[in-house]
Amino acid sequence: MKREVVEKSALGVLAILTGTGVLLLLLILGSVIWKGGPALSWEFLFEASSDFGNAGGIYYQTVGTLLLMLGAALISMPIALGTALYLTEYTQSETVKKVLRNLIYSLNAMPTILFGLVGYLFFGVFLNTGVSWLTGMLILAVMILPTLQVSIQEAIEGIPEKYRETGMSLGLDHLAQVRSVIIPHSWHGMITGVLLGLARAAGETAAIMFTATTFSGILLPQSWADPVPTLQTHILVLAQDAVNSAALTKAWGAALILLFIVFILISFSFLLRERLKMEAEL
Amino acid sequence: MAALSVVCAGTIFLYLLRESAPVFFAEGSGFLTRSDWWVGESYGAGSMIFGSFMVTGIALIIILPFALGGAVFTSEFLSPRWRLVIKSVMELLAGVPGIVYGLLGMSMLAVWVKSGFGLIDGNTIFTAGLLLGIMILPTIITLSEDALRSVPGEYRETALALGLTRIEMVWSTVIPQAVPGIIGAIFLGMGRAMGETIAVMLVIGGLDKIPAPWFDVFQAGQSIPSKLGREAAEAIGSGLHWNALMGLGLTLFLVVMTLSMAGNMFLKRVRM
Amino acid sequence: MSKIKNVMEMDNAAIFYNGKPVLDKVCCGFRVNAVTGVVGASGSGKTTLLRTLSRLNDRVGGFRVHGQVRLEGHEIYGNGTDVYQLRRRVGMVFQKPVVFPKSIFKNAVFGLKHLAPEMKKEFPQAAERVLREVFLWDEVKDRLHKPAQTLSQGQQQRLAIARTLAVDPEIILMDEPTSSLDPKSSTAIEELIVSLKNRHTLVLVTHHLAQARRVCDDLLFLNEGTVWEQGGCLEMFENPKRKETHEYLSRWNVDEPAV
Repeated sequence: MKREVVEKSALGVLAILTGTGVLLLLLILGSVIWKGGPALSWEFLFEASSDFGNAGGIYYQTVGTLLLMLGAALISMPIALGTALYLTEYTQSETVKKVLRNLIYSLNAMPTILFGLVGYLFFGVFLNTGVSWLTGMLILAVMILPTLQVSIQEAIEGIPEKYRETGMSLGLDHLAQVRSVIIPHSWHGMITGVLLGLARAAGETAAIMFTATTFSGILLPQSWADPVPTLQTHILVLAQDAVNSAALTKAWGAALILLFIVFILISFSFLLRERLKMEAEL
Repeated sequence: MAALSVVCAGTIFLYLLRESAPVFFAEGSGFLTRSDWWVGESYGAGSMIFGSFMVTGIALIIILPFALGGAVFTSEFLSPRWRLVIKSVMELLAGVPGIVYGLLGMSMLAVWVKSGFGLIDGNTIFTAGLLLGIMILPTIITLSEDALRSVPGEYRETALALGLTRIEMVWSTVIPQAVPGIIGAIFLGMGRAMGETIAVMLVIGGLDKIPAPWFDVFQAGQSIPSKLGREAAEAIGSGLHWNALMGLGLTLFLVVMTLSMAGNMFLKRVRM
Repeated sequence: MSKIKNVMEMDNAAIFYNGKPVLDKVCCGFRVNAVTGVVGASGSGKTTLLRTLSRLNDRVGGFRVHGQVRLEGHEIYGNGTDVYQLRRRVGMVFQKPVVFPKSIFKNAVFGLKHLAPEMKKEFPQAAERVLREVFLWDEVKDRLHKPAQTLSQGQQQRLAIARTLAVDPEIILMDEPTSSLDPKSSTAIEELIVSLKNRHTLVLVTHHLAQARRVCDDLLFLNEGTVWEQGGCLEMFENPKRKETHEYLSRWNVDEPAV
């Protein structure tokens, strides 16, 4: 009897502990919607901000965030694909694989503020790109590299050996093998990686706050060398300097949009994985 | 192509080393031990280093029961369908931008801490720790759950066949085998907490001081990343102040990299 | 016996995995336009031998070949061998049918697309030709652009053979091509094998002794890590020179292996 009681109560406690995680998500979502919802309007989405963010909308900030993250993904994608292909298809050396794998994981664990600091010195000062869209994209591209690379590599490693061997047995060379066997069978990993990388870039503030953006009075960049406005830094400024509740509501509104962008990206990656699982069961 | 990733990590380290060298010459080991940071006069990073470890410690103490309990329940007692739900929830939670956590922490958590503990100001080391705990929950749950699931099913069946209840089975066969993985998950979670900038910056209070007594966590403090986030923009490239900030960066780099290496070793993601 | 033309030969070849020999002192030849069966107990190295002939084990770590393996007199493990060209000339059909998740048509011209991209306009004719050769054309001509996975296992295996035929190999290696198929599909593949030897040289690994007896011209018996005996197929069934060969082959009409 006693053992049953222990079993039951332990399970109850574990269930409650687990439920907390789900509750947290609901709480976060609920709060952001509840506080940010009132700020939402057509004008909020499609107007420029004015009076240092206290009035107007977040149009340029949203576009800026999208520009930065898309640019980062475009730069990161070929590098991630190249690294993954090199590791899976071209090198046999265990040492090279080990070293690279270590580095990818270190890069993934790196505090993002360090990307900001060193990225600014390297790109902004050394390569002379200044505080600009380009600097931000390059920094974010490096930052999301592990996300993309790991996702692509897992997809490539998941390709059934039989497809590879069939390609080989027909006399395909490395390049043809990559084009016709590897890429067609791992595109889902690339898309998942890109989606998650985009989400990561969209949510990042520390790495871009003093490298890609200045706090007020900017619209869209006219060239690579111009700073971009972003949702993240817009929220930061409003949160730090908010004197009235109207400005804070604007910050919550911007947070809602940002959260929406990130969650959409992550949800698409879920859908893709689910569809794949269903295909695999066919 | 592959060489690029190598260059990235190496470059970060070398830059930090080069840019911080002057402050170590100027301050010696006092940079790490003293806690007087007066721009233009002296640079002692003690309070930031203390703050970083403190918030990380608080985050762990608060969140570990939830993270480990959640991981065990998800891995051992939930149907595949519900497991997928929990895992997806965790992935979404992990995706919430730091700035959104910061906004939530600043305008809700800090207010609750303030009224709940009867403080004058809710922006404290404790608030930052609590917020960080929430932020690293997904990392620890997800990775520990993976560690638990990687224990082969035969062990479970053998234990159940001997007449153990499910809780006894988990406690005596599954968890002991998953311990290295769980430790790895905790290390990686610590690394995450240590490096978080924006959210901490908004709720920690921003005071370069070790509280007196040191364990009074309901006072304002400062962590390394929050200091960097506040001052980097104004100090970029300017003399010893900048070097000192880069010294902070180097310290953070070394601590986080050590945690991540250790974590990955425990998780057997990399073998040395 | 130099009148007999061997397309491919192994001369005192030894094959190692991580320093451990799998096959040793292998001397054998494969006659042009004949079907050579490779038989022997599980683990006797039949598949390894087959994969060695088209260098499919190159990617496997710790794999080494000593001695000589020649294709029309040229050493294939020597420097300067174009391994991709070699694999095109020595095709391989695997045990389980492998079709790519693409259309039937795209599967049929999969290799061709890379080896002869300039012939793109002629792909439809090429596909028809090889699909006819494997007796699949009438079954699929109306659904060439449907996914290949919709075909039955037997049809998939014939499609895999068609895909190999499309790159026009001189030698086709087959690794138990019927072992995952039902009896009816197996018979179809057997007929196909016999019809292919007019234009190709075939090497067939099989566990199915009755099948070997039905379709093979020559036989190679592997035992204890080496070629124990080789010769004409019927000759070896009826008049084996060695006791072990007799013991192994005499069961040909006893145990039809379950599919």
